[in-house]
Amino acid sequence: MMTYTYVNSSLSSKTAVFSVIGALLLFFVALTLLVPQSVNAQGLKVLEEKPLPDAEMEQRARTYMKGIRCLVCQNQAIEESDADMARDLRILIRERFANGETEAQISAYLVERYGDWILMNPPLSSKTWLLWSAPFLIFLLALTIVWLRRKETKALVAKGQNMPQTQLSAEEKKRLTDILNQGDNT
Amino acid sequence: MMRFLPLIVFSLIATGLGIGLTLKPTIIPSAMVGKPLPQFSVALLKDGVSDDDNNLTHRDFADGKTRLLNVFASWCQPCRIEHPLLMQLAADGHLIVGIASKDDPTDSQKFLDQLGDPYKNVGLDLDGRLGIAIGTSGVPETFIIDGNGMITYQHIGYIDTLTFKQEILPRLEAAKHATGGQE
Repeated sequence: MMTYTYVNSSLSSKTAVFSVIGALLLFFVALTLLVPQSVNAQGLKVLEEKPLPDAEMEQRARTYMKGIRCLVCQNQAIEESDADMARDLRILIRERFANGETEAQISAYLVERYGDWILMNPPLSSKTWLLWSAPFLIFLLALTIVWLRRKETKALVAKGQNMPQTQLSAEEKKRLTDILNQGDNT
Repeated sequence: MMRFLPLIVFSLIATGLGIGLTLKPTIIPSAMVGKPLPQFSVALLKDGVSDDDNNLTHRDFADGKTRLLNVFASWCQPCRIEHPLLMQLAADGHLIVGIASKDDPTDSQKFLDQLGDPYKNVGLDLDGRLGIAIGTSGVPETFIIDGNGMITYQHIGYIDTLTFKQEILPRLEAAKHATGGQE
């Protein structure tokens, strides 16, 4: 009997705990519902992000956004970023597409403010020529090194300076024949 | 010569990476520095609401007075860190124009009521477009606009005492000296 009441009371205290948690959860859910409404009510202009009505233009905008770097994330395009700033830029870009601007015009606006940095593919300029030509320069450097080395080896061969490695002295020849003979015996 | 080639290549790479370590890739400077303020017009903050009759525009600058342009928001924690320094600048007679970035006017007002108002006036950048127009990548940011309306300097992030003494003050004085700015 005692045990039963004990279990019963612990059950009821559990129920109490759960109902408190439930009430708290409800409270927070209610809060999340309330907050955006109150923000809107007080006049903050929260721009809504929605695709352009023209599907073809939306596709163009999306492709373009893949080439625009997110300002607050490291090396991510705004097209794939959740950042607030990226969202703002996406809305701005859609707006400009809808106004009939071309990719080049939008890029000009963005680059004027954020520099070439904002473009995922920085254009060839006086600042970026080294970046773009680096692969070719490194390839040329490698070619030069190989060419210099071959020339060096050829010069040595011509002078006969790397011959000692291939020509054995009398003593070495004797040791070699000894070793070879031993091999025959065993 | 050939013998030293690996050493030379190594030194070059080491120097390059060494310089790379000192860079801060998270800071994207505005390309607007050295250019005039772009054209803009936003409503002013007035008693916790937007003042529909009076705007803050680019024309409010370029009147021979050097100003600080400070982008802030009530939701921005670092803004609270730099706030006392802005108060000090204002007390020293410098002109500071505030831009409340994506902030509810009521909240901006509360922020200023609580911490003090260092701003000559505050423009409301409700949708963040003005921030993009002047090349900000976050909040807070501080610009120096000289008497000709040119953006001469941008500081990204909050101002600490060191930046205040070494960067802001000298540049502010320089801009004032060059283009005027005393009250």
